[in-house]
Amino acid sequence: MKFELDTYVLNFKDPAQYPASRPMQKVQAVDRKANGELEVESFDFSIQSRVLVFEDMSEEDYIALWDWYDNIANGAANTFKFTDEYGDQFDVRIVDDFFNFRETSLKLYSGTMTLEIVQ
Amino acid sequence: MRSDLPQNFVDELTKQGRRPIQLLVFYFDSRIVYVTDTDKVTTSDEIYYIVEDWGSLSSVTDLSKIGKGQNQPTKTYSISLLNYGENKFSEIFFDRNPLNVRVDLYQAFLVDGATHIKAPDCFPTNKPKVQTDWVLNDVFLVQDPIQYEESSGLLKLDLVSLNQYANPYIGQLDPVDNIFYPVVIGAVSKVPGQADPANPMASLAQHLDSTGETIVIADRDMLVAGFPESGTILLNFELISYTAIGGDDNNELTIDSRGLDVAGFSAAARHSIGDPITLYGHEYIYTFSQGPVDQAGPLYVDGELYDGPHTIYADRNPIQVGFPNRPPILQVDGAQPMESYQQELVSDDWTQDYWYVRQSSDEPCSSAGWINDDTGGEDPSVYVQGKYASYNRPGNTSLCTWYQYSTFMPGHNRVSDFSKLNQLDFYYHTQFVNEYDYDKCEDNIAAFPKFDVSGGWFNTGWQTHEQLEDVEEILTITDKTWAELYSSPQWLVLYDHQVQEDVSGEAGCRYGSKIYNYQLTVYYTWDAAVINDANITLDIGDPAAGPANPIDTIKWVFSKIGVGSFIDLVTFDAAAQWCADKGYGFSGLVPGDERCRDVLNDLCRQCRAAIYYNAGLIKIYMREDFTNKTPDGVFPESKVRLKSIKIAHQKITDIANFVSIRYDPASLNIDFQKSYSTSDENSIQKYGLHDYVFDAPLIIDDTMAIDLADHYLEELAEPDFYITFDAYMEFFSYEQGDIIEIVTDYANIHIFKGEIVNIVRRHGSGKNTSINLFTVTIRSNKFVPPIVFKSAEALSVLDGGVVESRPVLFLTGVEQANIADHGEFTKCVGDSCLGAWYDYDYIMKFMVCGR
Repeated sequence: MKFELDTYVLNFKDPAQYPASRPMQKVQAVDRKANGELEVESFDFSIQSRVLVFEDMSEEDYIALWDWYDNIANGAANTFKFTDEYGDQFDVRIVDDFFNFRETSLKLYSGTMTLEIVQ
Repeated sequence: MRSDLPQNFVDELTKQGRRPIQLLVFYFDSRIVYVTDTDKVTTSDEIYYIVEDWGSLSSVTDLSKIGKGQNQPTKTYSISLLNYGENKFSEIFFDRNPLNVRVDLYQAFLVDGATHIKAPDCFPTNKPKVQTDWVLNDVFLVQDPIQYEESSGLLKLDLVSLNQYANPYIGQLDPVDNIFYPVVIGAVSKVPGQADPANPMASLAQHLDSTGETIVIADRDMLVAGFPESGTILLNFELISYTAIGGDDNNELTIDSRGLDVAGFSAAARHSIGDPITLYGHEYIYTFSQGPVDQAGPLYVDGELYDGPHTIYADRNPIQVGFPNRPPILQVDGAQPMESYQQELVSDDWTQDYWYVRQSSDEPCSSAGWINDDTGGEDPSVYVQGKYASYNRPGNTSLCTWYQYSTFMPGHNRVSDFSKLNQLDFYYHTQFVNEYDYDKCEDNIAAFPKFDVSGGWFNTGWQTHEQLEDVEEILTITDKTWAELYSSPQWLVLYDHQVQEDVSGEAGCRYGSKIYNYQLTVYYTWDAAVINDANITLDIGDPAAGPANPIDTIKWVFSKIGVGSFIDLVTFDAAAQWCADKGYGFSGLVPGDERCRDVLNDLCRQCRAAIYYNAGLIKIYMREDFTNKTPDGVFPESKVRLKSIKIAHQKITDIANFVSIRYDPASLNIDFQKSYSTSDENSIQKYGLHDYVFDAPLIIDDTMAIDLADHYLEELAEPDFYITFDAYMEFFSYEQGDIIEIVTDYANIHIFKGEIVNIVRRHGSGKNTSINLFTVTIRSNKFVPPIVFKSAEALSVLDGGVVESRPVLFLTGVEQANIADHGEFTKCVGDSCLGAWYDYDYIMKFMVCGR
């Protein structure tokens, strides 16, 4: 599992754990008519994300990830290449509102990060 | 209803999963810019994908005032754009006047399988071409001010419909008079005129006699008043040229010559304090209304047709009338307009005989044998009755003696005249032609005109002629006042002219002369005539063409604003035909200082039209009772949003059950000469008296006024029901003024029928992921809509049974109402219920009472 942006690379020593979430959201507007049926408007794209769950992440990974969020990806600003556990590569952005990995035990960190795949 | 939707679009309206795209087209000075929020639109022009929120497109109408004149709703549309990046969208606005930026809103759907759609063809800009996929929703203007938030990067624009243009005044401010002249609609009689302040006017501060060389003006600086440094003035009927304006206050004129010899004007005469002075050669201008017009006239002064000299300038703006040399004058008595400065007396005025008898030889005789001035000439106590005759006695040298005995008139020829005077200061300019004829004197006596004189007379002097010749004499009396002559109230003037032929060297002193014909010209004194410019009126427009069609007038206002090319000819022609069929017409004045938008409201109110803006066009419809009209569309429950139907009724205080119309004004929107009232007794009993008076200054026809008042009474006497509901895209082609029905199962309410009065459009897009919804308000018929039960299930039993009471209607919205506890219940048999609507088993109607 790694993040890549230009010459920057983040290789996780402790990659994300299970459960691996790959949510997909259809962007549609749905309303109900007075006869009970539904009225649908579709905006022709779906939002795909990856939710990465980290547990007991080493401090080294944590610092690298912190740096990645803060400086390289700059939150949601920059897209980067994400290689998942299957080796598939996606262009993603980090869409979390804030970076909050808790130190669950001494020098071990846990948290989640949501990546949205760029259309 | 819109009938211009392309087929692709219509097909998509009812589909599920349709994919809407909205597109804004900004017509900036230098380029066209497209703005949307999806990247599915392709174009070679500049395009931004920055719409953050499409907002809602609403047609703002004050529902309570629909019937009372708010006949022109404004459409507003709010959008938020993301303003970021190197080419910020706001940069384009900040150096331009946002009010002038025209924006078009287009909609389309991505049809199945398509990934992109080409931007619409936007030229020519004043009329979009028919598009195959895109529909023009409407044409807007950006409303000032535009708002930009630095923190969120949002640029908020409010777009408004074309009536935002309607700011200009309907007339122009005249820079000379500072007056907004009224605008004439149709043909109007007796439009009042205003004197041009540049008309040079002054008056005498001192009496001026016939030989005076300085004129003193009262209370005025002549240069400021508009008189030139030197020129010719007109004082009463005398033309006086002057060479300088002097005095500390520029109120003294140095006279060059008096009584200029111009036809129609008098010789030097006396003038009194206060006599008016005008500038000879200046055209005195009066201004009436906005122009130009095809036809103006005739002119009236003080209510009477004016025949005096004047020129009507119907091709000017404003329309003007010019009078040469001075404002119009009328005769004092009877206020008849003066045709000219002079009035000729004809010989019929001369009625009786005149003769003079020298009483004795003691009567003085001039050295030439004439009765001289001392005899009765200036003695006002002498009363003379005379018969004119002439005597021709050539060669007689002892006429003096002869005359002592004869009853012939000595060689005096007295030409006298009646002239009614009304003022002491009188002067008189007479000329006559004298012809000598030495033959057959006596035969000619009978042919002579005869005069009568009673009263005083005075001698004006005499002339001497050396030889036989035709004599033309002009005598002018300018230096006698009537008071000096004559203290009697009788107004007679004797004008006396003596012609003597002196036979050379002889003592004979008189010869007769005959007056064959004469011409007497009387110039009216100032007091026989007055300047009358307080009441100058002009008929404007072609009375034969009749009143203007109200719709044509509305069109004219739009073209004046400059949006004439947006008028929808289909609806305007239909409305014009409706007015023509009903005989509706406008004839009157609109104040020039009204804004066009207010003028449009007034015009609509006076012909019961309603204007709305849609599809980039200005449309119009005539307000009518739609009770029996076939609806333009039916909305079953499958087209209406769940739980969206709300019903409210109009405030009772907003109804009107006693309607009065005032019309046919005597002048600009005041002094209405007629009115008509009508009332609805039922409504008055139920709700109390609510009266409504409205003014219709453009209506002069009784039939139209009555029709209009009856219509408003019918529309306003009962409180309206407003039903608001949300509808989906199928509603797209409906417009304000359409009649629609809603059919629904909701809470047992089945059918509402009404006129669309308000539409709010909430756009859906990828950004706000909302359904494209229309929130529609319809105004139902004036009576309570019947609540219909669909089948027998709601009723327990008929014919004596008890109907279970059920809450059948819950009114939400502004007004709550109480449901009365009784109703009328009918079983439908065959076609007995609701006619052409639907076939039901039972109908129950019940009263809903307002507060």
